[in-house]
Amino acid sequence: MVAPARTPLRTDRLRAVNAPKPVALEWDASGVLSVSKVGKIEAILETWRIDDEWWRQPIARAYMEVMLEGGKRLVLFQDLITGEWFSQMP
Amino acid sequence: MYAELHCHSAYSFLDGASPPDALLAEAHRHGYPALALTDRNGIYGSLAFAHAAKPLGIQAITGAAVTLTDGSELILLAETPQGYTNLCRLLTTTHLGAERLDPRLPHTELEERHDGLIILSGSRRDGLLPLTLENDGLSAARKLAERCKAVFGADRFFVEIQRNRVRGDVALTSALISLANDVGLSAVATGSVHYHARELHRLHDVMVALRHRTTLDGSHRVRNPNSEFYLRPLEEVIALFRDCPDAVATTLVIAERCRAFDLTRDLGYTFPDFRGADRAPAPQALAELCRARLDDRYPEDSLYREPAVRRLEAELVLIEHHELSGFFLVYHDLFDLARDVATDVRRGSRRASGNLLPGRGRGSSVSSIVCYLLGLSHIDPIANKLFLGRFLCETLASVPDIDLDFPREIREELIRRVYTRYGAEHVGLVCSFPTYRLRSAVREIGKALDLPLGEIELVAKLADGRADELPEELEHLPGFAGRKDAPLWRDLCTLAHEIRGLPRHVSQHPGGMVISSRPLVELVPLERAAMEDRVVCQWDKDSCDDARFIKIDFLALGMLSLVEECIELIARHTGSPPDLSRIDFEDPAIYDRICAGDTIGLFQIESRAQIQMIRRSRPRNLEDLAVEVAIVRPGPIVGGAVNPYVRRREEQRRAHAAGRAYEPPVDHPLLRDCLAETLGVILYQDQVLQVCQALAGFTTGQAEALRRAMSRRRSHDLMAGFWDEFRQGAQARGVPEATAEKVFAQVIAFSEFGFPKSHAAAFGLLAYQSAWLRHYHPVEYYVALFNNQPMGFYSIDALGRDALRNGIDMKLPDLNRSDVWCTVEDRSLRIGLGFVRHWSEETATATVTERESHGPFKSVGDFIRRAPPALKRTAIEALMWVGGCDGFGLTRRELLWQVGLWLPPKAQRSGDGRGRRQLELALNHPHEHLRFRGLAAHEQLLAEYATLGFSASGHPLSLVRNALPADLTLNRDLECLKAGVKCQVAGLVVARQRPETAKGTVFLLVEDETGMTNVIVRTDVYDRYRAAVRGEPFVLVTGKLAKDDGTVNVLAEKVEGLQGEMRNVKCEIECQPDDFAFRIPHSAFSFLKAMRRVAPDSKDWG
Repeated sequence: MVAPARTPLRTDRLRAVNAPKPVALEWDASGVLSVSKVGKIEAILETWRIDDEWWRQPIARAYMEVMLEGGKRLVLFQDLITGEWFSQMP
Repeated sequence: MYAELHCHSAYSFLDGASPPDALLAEAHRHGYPALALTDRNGIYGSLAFAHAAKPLGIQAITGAAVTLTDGSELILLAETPQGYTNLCRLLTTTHLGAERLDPRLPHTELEERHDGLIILSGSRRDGLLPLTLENDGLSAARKLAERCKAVFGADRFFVEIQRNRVRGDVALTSALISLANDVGLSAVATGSVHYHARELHRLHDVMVALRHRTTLDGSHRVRNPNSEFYLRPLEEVIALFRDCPDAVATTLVIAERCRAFDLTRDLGYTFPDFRGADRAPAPQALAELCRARLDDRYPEDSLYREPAVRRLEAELVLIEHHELSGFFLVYHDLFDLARDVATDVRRGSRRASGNLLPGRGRGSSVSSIVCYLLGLSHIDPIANKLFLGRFLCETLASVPDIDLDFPREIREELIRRVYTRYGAEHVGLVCSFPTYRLRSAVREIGKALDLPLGEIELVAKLADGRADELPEELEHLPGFAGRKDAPLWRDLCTLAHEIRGLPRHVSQHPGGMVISSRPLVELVPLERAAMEDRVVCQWDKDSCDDARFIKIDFLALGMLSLVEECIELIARHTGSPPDLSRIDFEDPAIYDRICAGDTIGLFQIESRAQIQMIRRSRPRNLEDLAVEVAIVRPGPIVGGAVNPYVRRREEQRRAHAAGRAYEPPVDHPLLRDCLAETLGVILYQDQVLQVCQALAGFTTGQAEALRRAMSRRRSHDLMAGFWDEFRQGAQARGVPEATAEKVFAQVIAFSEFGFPKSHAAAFGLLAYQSAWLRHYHPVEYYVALFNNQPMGFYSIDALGRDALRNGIDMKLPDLNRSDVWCTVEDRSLRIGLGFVRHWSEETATATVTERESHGPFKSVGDFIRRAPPALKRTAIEALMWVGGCDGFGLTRRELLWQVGLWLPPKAQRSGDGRGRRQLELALNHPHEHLRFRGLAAHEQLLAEYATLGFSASGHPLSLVRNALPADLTLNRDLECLKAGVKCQVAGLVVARQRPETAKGTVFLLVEDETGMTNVIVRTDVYDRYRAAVRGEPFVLVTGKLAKDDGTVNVLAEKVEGLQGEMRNVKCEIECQPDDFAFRIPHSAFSFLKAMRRVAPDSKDWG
């Protein structure tokens, strides 16, 4: 059901969809990369980069779409300004 | 290894952020073997790129990205000379066959003309194949690929794959590779390079936003998603394409194939033949022509006969040596053509019998006796002792320039006739590339960053246009301190620095034309110029010079148009035109006025600095005038020649008065001969070469190389490169190193602008002729001066008041008396109807024609009824505001009231502009007899500024003089004050100058009712009062009087806006009720405030 047009916008009830979650990436002894508490990375499917909003709040991210053990897909990105890693659903 | 085959430079205009040489330097650093320059729809930078690549050992590949009719793009690379020809023709079609600024190439054209071209399928965003794949699907893309293979061939059409770390790259490149494999085409890797270093991605983002006329926020969909479009290190490229090494290897195969064409070698330009080439070889024809005319110019009894014969023979030998005889004869043909054009243009006018030349030579060619005999120059090179080496020498590396000045209307027609004579495909105008400077950078980048427009405009207006760094400028601007570190402003500062010097758009060179016997469109693409019917080639003068194109300079010189018109007016008045070649060139009356600094409105010697100089150096003959023309130029100023020259001239005057000979000092005895005529300093470009030959023993080859360096962009660096040769040469002649260093500093000062003596002599002559015309025919001169604006140093407002000071009576426009342009009326200057705001030349002409056909206009109703329909109510009202209808016997308010009765207000206006259909019956309006008072003097003055842009009635300050501070000094009284006294001057700022050579000092010309005062604002004062110095129309200056050898200046200590100072001054102007069109001032303050809106902008120089 569509809310009446005059219903006030409750910005406090807005929530981000698929918000990135901080993750840690680790290499095991055999050189296999894994996302801590999520699983080992089987394959890197694609990498790409975003540079935007530099005039406001710079965004510089290196993305990779990975396939985890068991076939689950995940998008990881490194914030190139802070060096932190995040995960998102593809 | 890898060769980059898809690379945009700044010559892609808002689609590339690096100049070609920066790309080459980066490619060299990374070890690239080859680099293609593929700018968007043009090869603007290709020749400079090819020349710059050679010493770096990089193979330059010539190409372009062409936009097809559907908006997609393809990359075309020239494999062979035939391919280059086709590339030029296709790019010409792209531009000439479409709207200007939206070039598009029909597919069919490319299909018909692709021999010798290698075609790449384009980038992921705009490429023909990727776009088809994305929009129409795989089968459509396959069909397209098959068609391209069938039309262009599998060895000429390549599927381009790019990896710029954009999401989807892997899938797209896989699809393209498999498509290529399926169809039987090869894939080739490219980088889609748009800047040479990653950091420049921000500038490229801004450029893309500007190209799409939007902000950065609004350009998300059209910007590149990341900063990966830079020139990568080779190993990075190879790593990116490690899954498809063949695509990388193909780049080298293509580069190797493109070796068959070298732009620096294979152009094949030839100059057209002269008329009569079939009858006699060029050297013989030229010699016969010159020798025949020698007898006319230098009869047997002439003092100069013998040196003229020697000079002619020497020049003919040189010309034959360089195989330039045909070149001179073609110029002779062109000048004959100009003669025909001038005859046609002047036909029916009285000046036709005035012995006027169609045009005049300028520049170094004036020193050539061959040019003099062929009529290409009007200055006798023998009598004027002109040095030929600047124009012609044994080791000429490029074709010499012959520049010709024409009156505007003759030049326009001549250009048209040249197209007709040689054919449209064989002729093109040379282009130029205006570059980003601080102001344009601030305005445009500020828009992209979405900064407040008012603030951006303020910064652009108040910032010094030549400042190196915006951050320092912001610190000095009132209200902007600290902004350099604020968000967005910080980016503005960085980006303004990065964009500086990059080409902004394609413009037209002031007069350069290229003529080719082979179609020019096969040598360089042509495109539309901003002016209708004009076509420019895609190379600027440096590239045309590098291509050894012969550039013919047809320049429009406003002063020649003025002279033509003035002669015509004099002929109408006196019955016969004066012959300017036979006037008295030693007339003391003329030189007295010039020496007094009364030169406003004259050619070349009217500027603030020239007037100052003239009062000190006091020219008394044409040779002195040539010095005046040449001395106030950056070359002599930077070389420190000005003050020594003036001092020595004074010493020379004193010595001559005492009956002594004067020997000017020189830096070294070897310079005595070549600098004798300019009192031991270098004033002319030719002297630079003579000095190098005399002091450092430069060979003619070295001198020629120096001459070329002097006329190039970045000439300072090029000339500085001659230091070692100069030092060694001077050392060999026993010149101390310190002296050599001192003289060389004067030599490289001429990397700045300077004149050859021949040019100065030609312009000095015209300066004298303009002074002669003004002195003996002042009304005609000022009428012609008004009609040929804009030209020169001053606004028409300042020129008008100078005319008033010189006793010229100026009459406001009058509907029943004025012509379209200004005219002479009872020895007064009558302003033309075309000068009134909202009146065009067409409406003014139609109105005058109506008046001449059916008699004078009798009333407002009669005027409105008979005036051309295109004449809008605003135009009619504007004419009434300045008294154009005062002849109807009504006050201006009554006239304006009546217009309101006849014509509906703007909101109710019908389709024909004035709703004139109600006026078909010549009936009086019942309310037309209401009475209103007339305009007060200050209202009239405001009206003149608002509708004419200048005042014919006097100076604005004359109306508020009583309200101004009592201790103000008028300009005419400054002469009586002692040097060093404190004084206050006020006035309208006529000109603002911040010459590069003055190290930050600003010069203001402040005009009051009695004349113009030169105000010098030193850097510290400028920093304190910058807003007033740069922006206020009326200023109040407090400072000290400085007097030096006939010059009077005010050294400013404080500069304020006059209006602000008047805020609390008692009302001195008669109050009037409010009016609907102009805000009526009630006090001196509000009058100045109202004036602020209508005052003409000062002329800002530097």
